Formats: sequence, structure tokens, C-alpha cells
Amino acid sequence: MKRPRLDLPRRLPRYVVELVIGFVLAGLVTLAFTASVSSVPFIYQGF
Amino acid sequence: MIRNVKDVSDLLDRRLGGVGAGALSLLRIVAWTLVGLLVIGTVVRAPAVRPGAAYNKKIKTTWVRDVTLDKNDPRGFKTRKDRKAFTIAWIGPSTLQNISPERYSFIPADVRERIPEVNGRPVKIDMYFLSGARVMDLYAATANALATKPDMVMVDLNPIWLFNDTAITSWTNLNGVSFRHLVGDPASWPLLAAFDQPQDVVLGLAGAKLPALGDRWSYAQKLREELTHLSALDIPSPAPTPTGRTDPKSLAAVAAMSAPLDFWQLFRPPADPRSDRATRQSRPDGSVLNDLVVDRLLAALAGAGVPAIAYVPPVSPELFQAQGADEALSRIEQHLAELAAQHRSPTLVVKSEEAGRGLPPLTFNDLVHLAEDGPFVTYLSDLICGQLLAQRVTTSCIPGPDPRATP
Repeated sequence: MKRPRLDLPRRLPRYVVELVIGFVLAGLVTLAFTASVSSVPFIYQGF
Repeated sequence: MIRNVKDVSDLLDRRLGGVGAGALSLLRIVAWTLVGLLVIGTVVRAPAVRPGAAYNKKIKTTWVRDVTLDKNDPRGFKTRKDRKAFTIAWIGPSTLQNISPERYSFIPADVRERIPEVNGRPVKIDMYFLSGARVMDLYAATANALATKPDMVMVDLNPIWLFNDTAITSWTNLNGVSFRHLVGDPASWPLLAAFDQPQDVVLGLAGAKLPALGDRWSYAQKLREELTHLSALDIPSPAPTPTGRTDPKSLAAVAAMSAPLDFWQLFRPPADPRSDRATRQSRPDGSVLNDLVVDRLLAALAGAGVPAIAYVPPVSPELFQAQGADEALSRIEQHLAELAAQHRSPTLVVKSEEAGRGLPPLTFNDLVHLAEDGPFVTYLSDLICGQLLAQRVTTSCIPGPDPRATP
């Protein structure tokens, strides 16, 4: 039985691009949710 | 030549080797996104957050701390761990305060003066102080407090809002952090469905493990400081403060105010206690969603396995001048007693009667805030000691005298 070849050199660029897209998405997600909360300290003036 | 979406897709396939073309590729991108979120949370540390800084400055002892974070902060609370201390989680709205020109304090801090230790362990009070809290906020805070496994729980149930369904929640930032505590109780699911948005659920769960999402309020604050430098607007310097003793209501003092809010805080018309809208708006007939909240709150306390006390704080006698106010309050008390009867537990004491009814005349700052809390602190201290003795947590508990009582 013939073992399948990993063929990493051909697939490596795809994996690298997937990694970059994943990290960029993580940055965007963090930024989006950071922007979604108000950071101005809340001052309750009614006791 | 690119003519349509398929051409773009073909081009990306050729250049990027088919990224996103299959389910496995998309799965890998999602996995890298999660790794990225973990890396961001580890590398970009959020600045430390201090709960209740403004209030804690006014509490003399460090054994009593307000653990509530900013009202926009989705983390809700930050407690301190001290296994050697006897920890009381004390949950309540603004009625936890004693407000007068001579003395501003917190009732839990004044109780701690009377009961400094239990069984040789120093008493530490984590105050879940929620200004303007409504009944759902108290339930959310109680669920968060119970998750920290305190030695005792106290809950202040302000009767004005207990069965008033015109305002059931105010601290919506607690939705996410409370979800993971409340979801274990299927009877609470209608409340989760009613109050939580999908993002509360997702972020509440994800934020527990991913600081990049959980600490977003701190990140936002840090980012705001940076963005301020880019703003073309100048930050105005505060007006010079009047020198010498000036009447705080004088024109010079008003001119020195830097925000309209300062003005309105001083000059706002006082609420007329005789109008008594809040009590009359209450519907203690079992028809409002508040019932389910109070029911689950009492169920959580009854099942906590630690001594717990829920009490109704005193309201100003002026309120009773309004026609029908006394009857309205009585119905609130009676309905609370009915709900409490469904959650009988040796560890839970529910004082459904407004505490002022059994106390000597009290001095109030306004409708619900005490100006001199001495007798009420005595009442609460006795209640706590009674409960600790009944539960055999301690064999001796005698509250100290009122340090401000006139001899």
C-alpha cells in the first residue's frame, strides 16, 4: 500500500495565509468589542 | 481579467493556494483566530482595575470594600480572596448608604465596627453596592457573590422597586458575567431569555477564558487615553476655585462649576415623598416578572448552604403621609413573605417587614436613605449574630455598642 505524501512545500503558503487571516481576525474582533463598550467612567449622580 | 466574483475567487485560489475553499481551511482560520485572541490577551495586558474607587475612599477600614466595577464594565465585580477572614457578601442598592452632611458612610461598614470578628476570624465584607439597582441587578449580584463562596450573604431588598415592573433592571453590564451562574438554574431561563442579548451570552462565556474579550472595558479606557492625544479639541482647564469660605450656592461657586451636572446635583428639586409614586406603582399580586426574579433570588439564597439574610430596609416616615402608602407597603411586605414561604431553609432568614416598623424613629436624608443609621445598624448586627448562633457558626457573638451613641 502506498503511503500518501504530505506535500508540505506545496501546502505551506496556504497554511501561512490561514494563520495570518486568523490573527488579523483576532485583532479585528478584539478592536470591535473594545469599541463596543463605553470607557467613560460612569458617575451615578442620584445616589 | 476580473469580471465577476468567480474570477476573484479563482485568482485567490491561484495566489493563496485555495485558502477558505474548504471546510477544513475555514476551521483552521477559526482555530488561528482563537489562538490569536489568546495571544493578544497574554501579550497586551489590560491595566489593573480598581473596583468602587470613589466609594472605597470614604470607607475607613480596608476590611470593607465595594467590589463593584464601573457600570459599563462587563466583568461586573472584582473580589479579594482571603481564606483566613470570615467573608460576608453584602448585596444592595443605594440604601446601603448613610447620607448626611456630618457623616457619609456605608451601613455594612458600620455593622463591621460592631462585629469585627467571628470565631476569631476577622470579618471581611465584600460590598456588592449597585447604585440605582433594580431587582434583577440584585439577583445578578447575588449569583456572582455566591459563586465566590462567601461565609455569609446579606441582601438589601429596597421595597420601592421590589415589585415595581416599570424598572426591573438597570445594571445591564452584569448580563454577560451572570449568565454562566444563572444558566445552571432552569427556572431562571425565562429571565435569561427576557434580559440577555445573544452578545451577552457569547461574550459572557468567551470572556471568562479569553482576557482579550473579557477585559475589553480596560482596553477601551487605555485606547481612549491614547486617542485623546489625537483629538483636535483641547481639554479645558477647570475654572479657578473661589478662595476663602464661599456659600456653595453663591454665584461665584456656580461659576466655578465645570459641568452642568454639578449645578443640577446641588439645585435639583427634591422629590416629594408624599407623592409616593414608586410604592403605588408596585404590583404585589403575582402578575409581574419581578415575582420570578425574587423567587429565584430567594431560591439561590436558600440553596447556598451558608447563612443568608434578606431584609427590607427602612423607608422615611414621610412616605406614610401619602394616602394609601402604608397599605401599599404592607402588600409588598405580605407578598414578599408569601414568596419567602416557598423557600424555607434553615440557613435563610427573610425579614419581609420594613425594618423601620420595629425601630425607634429614624432620621432620613430623603425618601429611602438614612441620615443616622445607628439603630438600624444595631438591628442588623443583632440579626447577623442571631443567625450565626442559630447556625452554630459561632458559639459567641455579641455586637459592640454604637460608637456614636450619645451617653
